Amino acid sequence: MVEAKNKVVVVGNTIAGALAALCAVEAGASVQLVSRAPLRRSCDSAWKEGIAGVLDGAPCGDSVEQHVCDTILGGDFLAHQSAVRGMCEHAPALIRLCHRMGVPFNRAAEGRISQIGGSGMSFRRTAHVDAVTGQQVVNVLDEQIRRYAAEGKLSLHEYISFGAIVRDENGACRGVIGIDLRSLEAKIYPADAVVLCVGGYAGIYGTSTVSDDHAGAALAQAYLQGADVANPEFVQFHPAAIPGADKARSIGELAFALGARLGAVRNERPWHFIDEWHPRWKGAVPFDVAARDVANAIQEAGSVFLDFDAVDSDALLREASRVFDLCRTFSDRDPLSEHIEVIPAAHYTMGGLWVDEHHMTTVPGLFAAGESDYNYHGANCLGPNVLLSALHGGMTAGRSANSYAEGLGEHVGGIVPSVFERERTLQENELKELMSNEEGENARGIRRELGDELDRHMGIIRHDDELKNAAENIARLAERCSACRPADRSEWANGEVMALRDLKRLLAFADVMVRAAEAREESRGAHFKPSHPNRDDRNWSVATRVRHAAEGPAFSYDDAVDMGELKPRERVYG
Amino acid sequence: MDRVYLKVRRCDGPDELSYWEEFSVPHRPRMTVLAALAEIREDPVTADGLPTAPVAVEHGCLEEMCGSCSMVINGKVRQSCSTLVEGLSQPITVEPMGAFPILRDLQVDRSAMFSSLTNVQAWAELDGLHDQSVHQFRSPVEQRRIFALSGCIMCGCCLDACPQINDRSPYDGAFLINSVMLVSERHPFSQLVSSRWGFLKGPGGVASCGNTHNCELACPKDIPLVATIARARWKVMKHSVLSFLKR
Repeated sequence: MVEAKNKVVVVGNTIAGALAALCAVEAGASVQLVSRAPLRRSCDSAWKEGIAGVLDGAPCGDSVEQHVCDTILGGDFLAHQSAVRGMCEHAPALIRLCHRMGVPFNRAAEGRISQIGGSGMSFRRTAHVDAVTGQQVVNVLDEQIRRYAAEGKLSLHEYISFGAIVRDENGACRGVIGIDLRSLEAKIYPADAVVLCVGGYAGIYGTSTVSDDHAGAALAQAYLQGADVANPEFVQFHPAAIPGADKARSIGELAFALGARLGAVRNERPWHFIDEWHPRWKGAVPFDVAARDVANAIQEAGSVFLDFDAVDSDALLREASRVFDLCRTFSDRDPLSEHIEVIPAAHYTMGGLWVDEHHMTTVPGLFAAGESDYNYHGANCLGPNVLLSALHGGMTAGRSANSYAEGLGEHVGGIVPSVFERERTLQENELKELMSNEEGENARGIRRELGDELDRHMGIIRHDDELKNAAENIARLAERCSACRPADRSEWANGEVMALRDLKRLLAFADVMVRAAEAREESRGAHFKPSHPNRDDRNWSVATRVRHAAEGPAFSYDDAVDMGELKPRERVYG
Repeated sequence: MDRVYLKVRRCDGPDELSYWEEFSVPHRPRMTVLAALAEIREDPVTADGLPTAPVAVEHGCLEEMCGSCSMVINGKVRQSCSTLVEGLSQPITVEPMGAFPILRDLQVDRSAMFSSLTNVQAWAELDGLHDQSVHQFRSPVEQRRIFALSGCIMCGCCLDACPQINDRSPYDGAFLINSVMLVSERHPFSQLVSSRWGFLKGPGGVASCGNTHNCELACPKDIPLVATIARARWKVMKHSVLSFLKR
């Protein structure tokens, strides 16, 4: 029987994944959206920053060129510049799309979409809904997904965690194996093309602004199956998050644009160090710069705070009331009258799976988008570009996946079932084996130690000897992990055995991260090494690429950054 | 506070019997109920030291935006990720929401909420993702009004708190009335399509709301549910009167 439509599977119902699925449907594919959680339950709902874009009526002097330059400089000349151009050019249309879908953007008095300043942005070009733009985009995309599902154009498979990709004898990706989180069954999802939109790996750290299961286990699985990773050493630390027992909660977004200032107590007086060190940019410095400043200020003064003394309280409640709610709920303080203690925390990962300009990974037929890719933000992301890259990347990847499927000689219906059955059995057997361990350490202890190790030795400031130690410690954790047991051996809704399965993958990925950080002998964007404090354009204007091999990760540096828009210059935010 | 004491109503699966277990976990600064439950995983034993499985909890963003972690804490339904243990009387009693079937421990099945959004076609009738240069103006006042309705995180607290949500009542819940009102008021040219009308004036809609206001009290997002339901009632009444007069 001839399959009439191209089959595309999107893994990860996230902002990027949802838009990829919708675009693939519109391009003519039959789409299955496989996700461990419904879109509204994803942590994209907690994303606060708005969407940057040069809309008509932008402040005088702004232009797409300016947005491109801000992004390239913000990324410290590591992002591929033609990709950045494509994203910035697309931004106004994406904001319009969000508006049409129903996102209630904040409005200026005249009735236009109101645009606020953002980190690294030289003009006010961030369209936003309070400080909850992520949630609003999630909600409207969720409506469209449900609509297409009701019309039979796509099928939704929720509470299914990513297990593995299925590769045929030519190495092409022909689908995925998903693990039902309730029954723990491994299920087959055949496809002509697969798009992975499974987020990033900031949660691998002990101190992060995301939960500990947003640590990149799915990315690690793809890596172990042959998808190269790129720039894994580039992790953004948020400079201002409220400390908490299970995660740190970021509040800097939008707050800085409204005049909130980071400060510390020095000689018993408030010391606004960011303003002192950056008199022109002040709180609009990119987050990598701010995070380093916070680390240095903590060294000197012990702790830092965010103060809203210079903020107009009406403006705060109108433009970012969510910040106010977060402070009251999680720090038990009123930001309008008290200082809020904040800490830096791992927040967003610029690295991810290597992809070409069509968002295809090194595995033919496997695409990646959203925080799972690596190509738009270079060495540091500018917050208002994050949703933009998720939407732009998701749209591009969904369409590319369909085009790729269209060009295939043989569609997946013609692939013998044993190819799928082999991988399905592998996944099922692994779970059974993990479940059968009765003795050994509780895997949770090892997970906590991994987080602490990365916090201590692969944070904002990196030392080569510590990175070397980290690699050795991670190897020891991996050994212990091979003899540990899940804290729960039930065969129903068992989160612990899934966490143990993930942990094995996280340890492999953490190894890649620390080795990449050790190997890059320069400082660029969010990667800072006192031993090599400057950017080295001559030798290091290349992306880090890592390929999995049995004897260990194989690093290559032949992916030279395309510099078509802007030649490297000194990156100073004075 | 050195330790946190929890009393959890557990259940091993659908159709299994519930049972209570008590736990004692080390307190960490700014610990939330969700964090306390997660702490059990580090050393999964009961307060008496007997080995047990960690408590199964659905969690997501950990900051009250995804609606995953709803549960009943000391008798009140709320998000566990934003409920700090300090200030709660101990032992903290933790139970799954009663309005939904239990999957395991505190994990409940809320898929019916999402299916009902499909039943009332709660979505924008977008005519494609291609770019349209639309410049739609909206006043800041109108934006704030719509924004107030748009914060629903599908947590289910309004259903759990509502006395009209039970097996004898056809009421579909405040969240659904709010969703329909949001979708129909959000776009200037939007109208109430028949499926949404049918719901609002049907047995699942405004007629079954008992006006206790529990929904708004329980809503973690401060959505003005009472006013929205009142406006929906008015729309239904106006529509009924007008169609009567047209006859």
